Amino acid sequence: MPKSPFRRCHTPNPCRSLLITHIRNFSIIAHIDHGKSTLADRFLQHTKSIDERRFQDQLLDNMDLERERGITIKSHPVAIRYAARNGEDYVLNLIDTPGHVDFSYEVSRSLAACEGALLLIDAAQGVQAQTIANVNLAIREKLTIIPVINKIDLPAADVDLCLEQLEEVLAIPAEEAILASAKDGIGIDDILEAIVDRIPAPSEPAHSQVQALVFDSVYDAFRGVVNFVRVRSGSIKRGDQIKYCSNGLSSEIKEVGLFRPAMTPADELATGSVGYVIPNVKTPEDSRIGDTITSKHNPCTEPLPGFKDVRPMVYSGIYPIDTGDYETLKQSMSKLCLNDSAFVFQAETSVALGFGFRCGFLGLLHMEIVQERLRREYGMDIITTYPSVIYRVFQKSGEQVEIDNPLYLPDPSTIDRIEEPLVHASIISPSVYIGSIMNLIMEKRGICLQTVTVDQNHVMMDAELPLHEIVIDFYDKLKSISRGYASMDYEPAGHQVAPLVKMEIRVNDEPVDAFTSIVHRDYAHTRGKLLAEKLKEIIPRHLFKIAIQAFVGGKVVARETVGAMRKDVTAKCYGGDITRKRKLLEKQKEGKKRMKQVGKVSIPQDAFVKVLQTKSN
Amino acid sequence: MPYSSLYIHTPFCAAKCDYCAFYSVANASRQMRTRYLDTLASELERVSRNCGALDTIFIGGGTPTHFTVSELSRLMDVFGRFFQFGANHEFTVEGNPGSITREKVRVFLDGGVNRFSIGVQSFSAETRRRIGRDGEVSWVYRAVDALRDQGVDNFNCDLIYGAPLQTTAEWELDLREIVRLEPLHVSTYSLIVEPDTPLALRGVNEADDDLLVEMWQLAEDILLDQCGLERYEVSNFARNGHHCRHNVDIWKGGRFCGAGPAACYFDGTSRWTNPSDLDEWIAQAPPVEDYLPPDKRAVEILATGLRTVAGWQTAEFQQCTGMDIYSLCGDTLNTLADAGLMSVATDGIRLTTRGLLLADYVERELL
Repeated sequence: MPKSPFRRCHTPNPCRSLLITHIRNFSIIAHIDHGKSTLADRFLQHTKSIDERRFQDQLLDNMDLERERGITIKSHPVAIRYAARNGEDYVLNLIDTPGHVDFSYEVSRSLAACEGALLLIDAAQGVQAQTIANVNLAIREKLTIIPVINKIDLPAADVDLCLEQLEEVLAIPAEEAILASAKDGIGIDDILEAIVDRIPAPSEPAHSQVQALVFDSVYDAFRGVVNFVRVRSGSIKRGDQIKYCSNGLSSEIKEVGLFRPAMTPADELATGSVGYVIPNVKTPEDSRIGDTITSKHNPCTEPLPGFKDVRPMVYSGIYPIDTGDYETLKQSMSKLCLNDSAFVFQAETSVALGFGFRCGFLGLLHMEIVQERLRREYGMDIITTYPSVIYRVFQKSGEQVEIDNPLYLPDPSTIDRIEEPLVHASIISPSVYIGSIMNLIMEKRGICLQTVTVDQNHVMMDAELPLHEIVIDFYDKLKSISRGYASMDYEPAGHQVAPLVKMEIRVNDEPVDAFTSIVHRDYAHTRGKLLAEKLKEIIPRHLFKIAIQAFVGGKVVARETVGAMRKDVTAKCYGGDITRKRKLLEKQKEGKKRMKQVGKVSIPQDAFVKVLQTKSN
Repeated sequence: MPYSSLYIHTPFCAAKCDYCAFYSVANASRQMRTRYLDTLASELERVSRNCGALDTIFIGGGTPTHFTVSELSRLMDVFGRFFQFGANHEFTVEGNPGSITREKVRVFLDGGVNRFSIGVQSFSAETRRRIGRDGEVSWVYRAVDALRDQGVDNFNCDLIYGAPLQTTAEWELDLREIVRLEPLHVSTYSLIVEPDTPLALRGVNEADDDLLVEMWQLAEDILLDQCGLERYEVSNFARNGHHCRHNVDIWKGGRFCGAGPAACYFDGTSRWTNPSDLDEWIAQAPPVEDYLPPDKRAVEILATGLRTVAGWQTAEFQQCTGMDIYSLCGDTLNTLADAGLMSVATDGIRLTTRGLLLADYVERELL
C-alpha cells in the first residue's frame, strides 16, 4: 500500500489536504497545434483522473471557440492524482496557458503560479517563434523546464532536428528531452515521472501571511466572481476575510475548492496548492488577473511580484446592431473583462453606428476572440470598426495627445509631428521563404535588423515594423507566403515619427466614421482603393447607384461605384416554389434588418470585419 | 368547396440537368416506376374524393414523357377512372423533346390532355453543354412535328437565358428559332444557380444584372414583334390570351390539390408539400404544412399575384383573400410606387417593368 500523503478531514464531504512535498505545479508551453490539449487529455486518462465515460477529447479547452479552432486561449487548471513509481501519491496541478502571441501577460501569470513547465515541441514542425518567447518567460519565472518532443510517430517527424534546435536556439541540453506521442499515448508515463522527479515541490514560505496569486478568474451568474489562485503562503478557507492588494477591496470567502477537473468544494486551500476561491464580489472589474489575495486582518507586507495593468496595443469600436442592446452589451463586456484583464472598454459614440464602446485589445487575435465571445457567449449582435493603434500626436502648441481613434486626430495644420508605435518582431521560417518575407517586411514599412541561422533549414529574422501594419494583415500574409510554416512573435519597440494622414470613407456622400483610418501618406491611394474595392464587393446593390469614396484632406484619393440593382426576381414561381421562395425572402429580409443603415444605404455588419481582411495584392 | 385544380408530379428523368433543383430521379428502374404508378393510383383515388369536375390539370416533373407508352396508358386510365373534366378544361403535360413521340401524344390526347409544354431550353449545342442539358437540338423539331402531326397547336416552349458565357446575340438566335416553331406560349427563365446543383458546385455564377435586363427586354421585343407573344408574367408569354390558366390560378391564390412526391396543395389557408423522396412518399409519409395567419397569407398571395403583368384588381383581391389591399399594406405600396416599381390606382395595382424585374425586392418589402 502506498503511503498516503493526505490527511483526512472530519467532514461529510471527504476532503484531503495535501502535504506540500507531494504537490507539483506545472504548465505546458506549446505552439498552437503542437498537441498541448491532447497531452493534457492523456494525463487525465492515464491517471484515471476522470471517468472514461465522461471523457471528451480536448477536455481542457472548455470554451467553444477554442475547441472549434483547436487552440487554447484561457487557462483551465486541473488537478491530476498520480501514483508515482516511488510508491507515493502526488497531486500534479496543470495550469494551462494560452498559446498565442497576444497573451504573453496571461502566460506569464500562469507561469508565475508554477514551479515547472513542459516545453512541448511538434517533431514535424520544430521550434516556433512563440515557443521561444514563452520559454523565455518561463526562464524569467525561474521554472524548471522539461522538453518533450511530441508527435514522434508522424511520418514527417524529424527528432534529431528538433533536438538540434533545442540546443541551438534555446540552450537546453538535448539529453533532457522526452520523446512522446500524446495521440498514441507514447511517453506519457515518462513525462509524469519527470514532473515528479525534476520539478521542485512548492517552496516552504518564509512567512505565514496569506499570499495567493490570482492567475485567472471567471464570472458565475449566480455566485459572482470566481478567482483561480495559487496559494504561495498561508492558507485560505471558507469564512476568511480577504483583501485584494491592488485595490484594497476586502470580502468574505464563501467557498474554496479544487479542480478535479470540475470545480469541487474543499475545506481549505493550503500553502502550495492550486484551486479556486469564491469571494463575495459581484463586480467583475474589482478582481484582476495577476493580483494578490491576502488576509484582511493580517495582510502580507508586499504583494506577489508581477502584477501590472496590461496596456492594450490595438483599439477598435464595438457597437450593438440594435441600439436597445447598449446596456446589455455594457454588462456583457464587464463580465468578459473579468477573465480577460487585458480587455478594456469605454463609452464612445459614432455618427454612423450610434452609441457603443471604444475597446482596447492586446492584438488582432485577441480582438477577434472578444468579438466572438460577445457574439456566442453573450448572444450580442455587434459591429466592430477598423482597428487602430495608439498614435502620439505632438501639436505645434507643444501639447501632446494620444490618439486611439483616428476620428479624433487633430486638424493637420495644428500638428507638428505624429509618432506611431513600433514592434520588434522575431520570425522563424524555413530558409527558402527568406526572400519573400524580406519583401513583405519592406512592403510593410519595416526593416530587417538581422538574420540568424536556427538549423540547416531554418532562419530567424529580427525586424522592426510599425505595429499598425502588423495589426492589419502582416501575420496572414506571412502565413500565406510561407505556406503556414513561418511563425512570429513580437514585442513593443518604441515609436517613430511618420508622415501619417487621416483617411475618411464616404458611402453615398455620407461619411462612415467607423471606416476612418490613419494611413501613411504614401500609401493613402493604395489603401483607399483597397478599402473602396472591398466595400464595393460587400455593399449589396440598392435601387440607386452608390458612390464609395476615400478622402484625404478633402481630396478624393480613390473611388468605386456600386451599380443600381436592376434585376431581382425568381425566374420560376409555381405551386411548389411559393413557400420556398417566401421563406428565402423572409430570411433575406431578416438579414437586411441586421445591416447598418448609413443614410439610405444598408451596410452588412460583417463589412467592418471583411474590410480588415483586405489583402494588398 | 371541392377542388377543381390538380397538379401531378412525376419524378423521373432520362438524365438530370446540371441546373435542376427539382425533385427528380434519373435512370429509375421499371420496378421503381411501377411502384410509383401504384402509389399514385391510390393517392389519386384519395385526392379525387375532395375534387369536383376539374378545370385545370398539370402533369409536371421530372419528365412525364419519360414513361413508356404502356405506363402512360395506365396513368391516364387511372386518372380517367377517378376524375371528370369541367367544361372547357385545360390539361397540360410537360415533356422533353427526346421522349415526345406520336404514340405518347396520342395516349395523352385520348386521356383528355389538350396542352403540351416542351423543355427546349436552348438551340445552342455550346450553351446546352455548359448547363448540362442532355439531348440533341434536332429532337426539338421532331417533337414539334409529333405534336403538329396529332393536331396539337396549343403548346409551350421553355427557354433558358443568362447561361454561362451566353451573349445577347446567341440569345437572340434562340428566340428567333423559337418564333419559327410558332408556339402559343413561351416561358423564358433566367438561369438560377441553385445551391448544391452541379452548376453551383462548379462555381458557376449567375449573369450580371445589366446583361440579364438586356436579355429580358430582347425576349419581350422579339416574341411580341415576330410572334405576337405578350408577356403576362415575369417569365411567361402567350399569344391571343393562351395563358396557362393552371398557373395563373396558383399565382392568384387559387386552391389546388396535388399528387406525387414533392407535389404541393393549397387549401386556402395552408400549403402542404408531399415528401421530396420517392421512398418516403411511397411509405405515405405525411406532407409538410406551411401555415400562415390570414393576413400574412394574404400578403404572400398579393406578392405572388403581382408577378403577373396585369397585377391585382382591388375587387379580385378582396374576393380571393377577403381583405382590402390598401388596408393590408397601403403604406408599402405607396413607397413602392414612389420608387417607380408599382402603379397604384383605386381599382387595382400592378408592377411597372422595373417592378417586375425587381419582384423579389417588392415581395421582401411587402412581407
